[in-house]
Order: sequence, then structure tokens, then C-alpha cells
Amino acid sequence: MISPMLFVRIIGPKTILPSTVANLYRLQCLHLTEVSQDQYSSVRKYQVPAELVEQSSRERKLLAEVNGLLELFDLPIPESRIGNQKDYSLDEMAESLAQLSQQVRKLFAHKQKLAEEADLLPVYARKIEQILPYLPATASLHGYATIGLFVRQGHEHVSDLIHQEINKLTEGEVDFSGFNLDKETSVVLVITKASYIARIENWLRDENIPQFEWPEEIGSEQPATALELVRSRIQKLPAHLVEVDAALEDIKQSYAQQLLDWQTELAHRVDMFAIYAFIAETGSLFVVQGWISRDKHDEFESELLAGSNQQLILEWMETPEALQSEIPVQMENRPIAQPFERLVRLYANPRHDDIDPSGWMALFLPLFFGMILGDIAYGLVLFLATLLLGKRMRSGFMADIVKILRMGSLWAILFGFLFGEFLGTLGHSLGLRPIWLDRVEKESLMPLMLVAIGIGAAHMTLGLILGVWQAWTVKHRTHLLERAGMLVGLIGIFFLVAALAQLIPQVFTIPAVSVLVIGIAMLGYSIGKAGIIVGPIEFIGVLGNILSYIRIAAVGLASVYLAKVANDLAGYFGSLVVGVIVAVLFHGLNLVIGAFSPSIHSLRLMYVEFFRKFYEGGGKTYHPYGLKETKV
Amino acid sequence: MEIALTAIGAGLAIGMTAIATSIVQSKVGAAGVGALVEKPELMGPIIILVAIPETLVILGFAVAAMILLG
Repeated sequence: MISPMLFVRIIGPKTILPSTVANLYRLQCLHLTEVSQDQYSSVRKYQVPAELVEQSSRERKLLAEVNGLLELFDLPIPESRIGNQKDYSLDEMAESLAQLSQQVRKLFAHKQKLAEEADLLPVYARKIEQILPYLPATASLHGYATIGLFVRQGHEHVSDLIHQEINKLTEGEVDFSGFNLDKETSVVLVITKASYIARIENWLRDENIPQFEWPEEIGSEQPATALELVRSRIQKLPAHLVEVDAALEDIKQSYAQQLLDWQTELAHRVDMFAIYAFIAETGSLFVVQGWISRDKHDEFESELLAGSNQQLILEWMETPEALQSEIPVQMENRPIAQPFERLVRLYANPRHDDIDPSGWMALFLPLFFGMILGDIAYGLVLFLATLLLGKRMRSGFMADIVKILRMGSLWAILFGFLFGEFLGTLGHSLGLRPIWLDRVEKESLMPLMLVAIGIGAAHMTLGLILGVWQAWTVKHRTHLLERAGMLVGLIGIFFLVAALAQLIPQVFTIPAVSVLVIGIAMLGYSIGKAGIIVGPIEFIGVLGNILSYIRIAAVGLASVYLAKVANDLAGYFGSLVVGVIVAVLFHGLNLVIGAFSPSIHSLRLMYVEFFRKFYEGGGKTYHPYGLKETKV
Repeated sequence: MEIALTAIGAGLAIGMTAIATSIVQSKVGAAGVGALVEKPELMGPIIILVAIPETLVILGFAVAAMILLG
């Protein structure tokens, strides 16, 4: 059912606003709505004090920082705000966090640098090893330096130009050497006095000639010394990485709980601040309003008044006309119907004046499912599978689907006995006899279809009765006429069919036709001028809805015939082993189809045929202040 | 001959309606998936729109059953 909501306006002196906000947050039952400025001419939107805005901004930044650290340490960010708030000082938290953050980021930066070195140093070592054999003796003299240049092969004239220009720049005090790096690139080595290096490098930069890059640490060393340095560095890298990892793990162990506590606390504070967007004020008072579930009324009022030393005024009132469409909706059902709430929301969120269809879904959806599948073995396998899955999935959409399938599987077992089916027709061979009817028999087809149509008629009638009730309670005249017209017309059809089938005396024929005409006339009237044409068409649509329930028979027959094919095919093979393998494969496939197809068809019957007779949807979900999850 | 014609009639009744349903569902389904990417909250109405053409094949099944059962 849909929990009734009460609208409340809370008014109090601004001096107790912070404590009231804290209490509202703790109570977690007020669904906030903005106070319209039209309601009170002197009421304006609350101007949040600058220091509070600044404080909230700091809290958001700190929360982002904490979340960042949690992600760095691969610690999951809590999704809910479990745990009480603690009295952390923001300054102390900020200071500790800054120190920790600096320490951690330094270590991570160092780790990243080491990882980059682990990638690059072997490359440098290989390059230096390639160069060394081509270096002349001058390269190792004190005061000399080497530059390596890349030249594409086939551009020797460029190489000549480089030689000429560098000769000019160094006044001839230069040695050249070189080798082919690969098929496309040559390396030109320039060995000259260190004093000329800057001049040459400037010229190379101006001409966009790429240089052989050295790591910064060994940039000024002679190639032979550089190679030794690189090799030594490569050897030490793993030990350095282990040291950094150990330091990080140490910090993680020491601060994990602290970080999670800070995260919870800061997330609480950020969530709490959200209320200020809904508050209004006068000179000395504040106003906040919203809805609470009726069963929370007493607790909410007493706690709030006690927390404010009776300084608050709580005005309980009818929801203002302008806010009628904003009334939030909370569904409260027995545990058996709760998994269906999600399916109802999948169709549309209920409105506050809707009938909650979760309970009806809990009754009919598994029933239709079981009637379509109708097999003891399939039902048992599905039941056991959903039991196992249910232990792994405790909450969420899939957990609800598993619970619904479990209910459906129980109905499937029951209908399996009624149809005498165990792995399709295999039950017959084992001596299982149908209690009601054998779906494989040709003679069973018509009764099966008639039962499906009968179920459809009953389901439609129920939907229309609910629709009439819903329209009556919300005083929606058009809907009332439309649904009542359909219902009256249907009753006329029922009597007409019964009279024609000689189930009731023939004398009922004319009254039945009259009732049918009255029903269609009511339906047409509700539509308006076009009703004279659209009314009968709409009514035919209702009959189409009833005929749509034949799918219960049709899809069920498809399932039982596939099972029969599996059994027959297994029998064609002479070998027992091959027969069993084929049967297992086919029955497995049929079971998968059997879990999926009846669910979709049953859901369709609920959504398209049933819901559209009474369910409006389009409401807002009840989201009380204090439960909101905020991730920064 | 009569049995053969009856069987062909029943086959046509369910086959043609199945083809018609599949054509309509493919078009509605493709458009529905496109709409879902933009507005996931339209899941309910789209399921309904995709499911509506199924009535065709169900009616085809009913007609086929009536033909076969005489």
C-alpha cells in the first residue's frame, strides 16, 4: 500500500536553526520541499551566512581529498552513512589530512617515477651500448661532450649540411662519428669541447633537428660512465619500489579506519548542508516544510519539540493545491510483495493517490508464470537455483527478480501436478497422470484457451473495479465514467456470452445487450464528441486485452512441446549416453527459455492489460532528508 | 486434401501474424532502445509499446487453434 503523507511546516527562531537542522537530519523522515515566496509576502529565501557557505565548501574539498586518498589506497568509498557523527574539528581534520595527503602523494609520485625509470632505463642502456663502439677517443677526454643527432637515411645532403654548420660553430674543433640505428634512421655523433655544446644545441633547436635524449641524472656524464650509472640504477630499482610500497602499506594500515571515519563524517556534513536550499526566512524566523509518513508523526513532533525546548511551531496541514503533484510516495508492503515494488517503479513511480499494485502483482505474476511453465521438474530446478542465488544476492534488483522467480517456481510445481508434466511428457512414461488436463492432448487445447480467457476476463474485471474505485476516491469524473463504462459493458458481454452458451436462460439476452450498449455509451460519453466512434473501438480494445490472456495457453504449449521434442529426440538415439546428453541439452535450453519467456509475458499482462485499467503513475519517490547519499 | 488445406490455413494464420508481429516489434524495439539511451525512465512505456503488437500473433494462434479443432 501507499503510505499516507502529512504536510508539515516548521517555524522557529533563527537562533535554533543549526540545532533544528541537526535534529531533522538525525530523524531522517522529512521529505523537503521549497517554501514558495507567494505563501507569505514577508518570507524570502534563506540567505546562508557566508561563513557557513565557506565551511561547507571546505568540507566538500576535504571530502573530495579523502575520497581521492581512499581510491589511491584501493579502499571502497562507503555508499551509506552508517555510523554516528563524531565531533571532529574541521581545522584539525584539514591539518591532519593535508599532512597525510602530502606524504602519500609524495610517495605515489616517487613510485610513479620509479615505474617510469623501470621502463626507460633499459632503453637508454641499449642506446648507449649501441653508441659506445662508434665513439672516438676524444669522447672520453676531460672537458669534451657528445651530442647524438637523428638523420633519416637517404637524406645524406642534410648530414653534410649539419657537418658544415657544426664545423663553423666549433671552429673546426669537432669529431664526427655515426651508425645506422635501424633501416630508416642514422645517428650522427658530434664530439666537441663542452664549451661549444650550448651553441650547438641552440642551433639544433632553431633548425628543429631532433637530438638523442639522455636522462637528466646522467645528462652531463661521459657515455661510458653514463652506462655504468644506468646499469647500477636498474639493479637498485626493485629494492626502491619495495621500500615505497612498504611505506604506502604502512600508511594504509595506520590511517584506513581514520580515513573511513573522516569520509563518513564529511559526507554527513555535506549532506546536511543540502537543507539550506529549502529554507525560507523572515527577519528573525526560519521556515522549512515538507512531508513525513503519517506513522512517524508522533515521534517526529515530540523529538523535534523536545530538541528545541518547545521553541518550534509545527503546523500540520493539508498539502497546498500548488504542491499536490509534488506529494512524495513511499510504498509499504508485506515482505512477500516488496520484491514487486521495484517492478511497479520500473513501469512508473506511483502517485500519492494511486492504488499500489505491488500486492496484486505478488498474487498474479507468479500465478501466470507458474501456469505458463507448469512443470514439476522445471519448477524444482528453478526453485533450487533461486534458493542458491538468493543466498548470494541479498538486496538489489537481481535479488528481487530471484525472489519473484522462486514464487513463480512454486506455482510451476503446482501446475506441473495439475497438468501431469515432469520434464514435459516424460512424466507420462513414469506413470504421472494429470489432475486437471493434459496439455499435449488435442482435446485440451480449447479448454486451456477458455480457462486463459476466463482468467483474462476476471483479471480485467478486477482491474476495472480498482480503476473505478481509484477514480471515485480522487473524484476524477472522466476516468470514473470511462472505467465504469468498460466495466458495465464487460458485465453485459459476460451475460450475453452466458446466455448464448445457454449457461443462463435465453431471457437474459436482451437485458445483456442493453447493459452492453449502456456501457459503451458511458465509455463514449467520457471521451467526448469523438466518443460515438472511439467508444466502441475502445471497448473492442478491452476485449482484445482479454483475448491477450490466451498467451498463457499458447506460450505454455510452446514450452511443453519443446520438452516433448527433447524427450522424443533423445529416444531416437540408440545409445543411452547420447540420448541423455541430448535430453539434458534440450531440457536445459527449454528451462532457460522457460524462466525468461513466461516472466516477460506475465509482466506484459500486468503492465499492458492490468495496470492500464487503474494505475496512473508519475509520482515522486519519498526521499527523506538525512538519507541522501552524496558523492563528491 | 481437406486436412492439408486445414493445416495450411492454420499455418498461415499463425505464420503471417508472427511475421507481422516481428516486423512491428523490430521497429518499435529499435526506436525504444534509442529512446532508452536518452531517457532511461521511459522503460515502462517502452515495454508496453514493444508488447502491444504481440496481440496479433496471439490472435493468430487462437484462429489457428479454431481452424485445427474445427
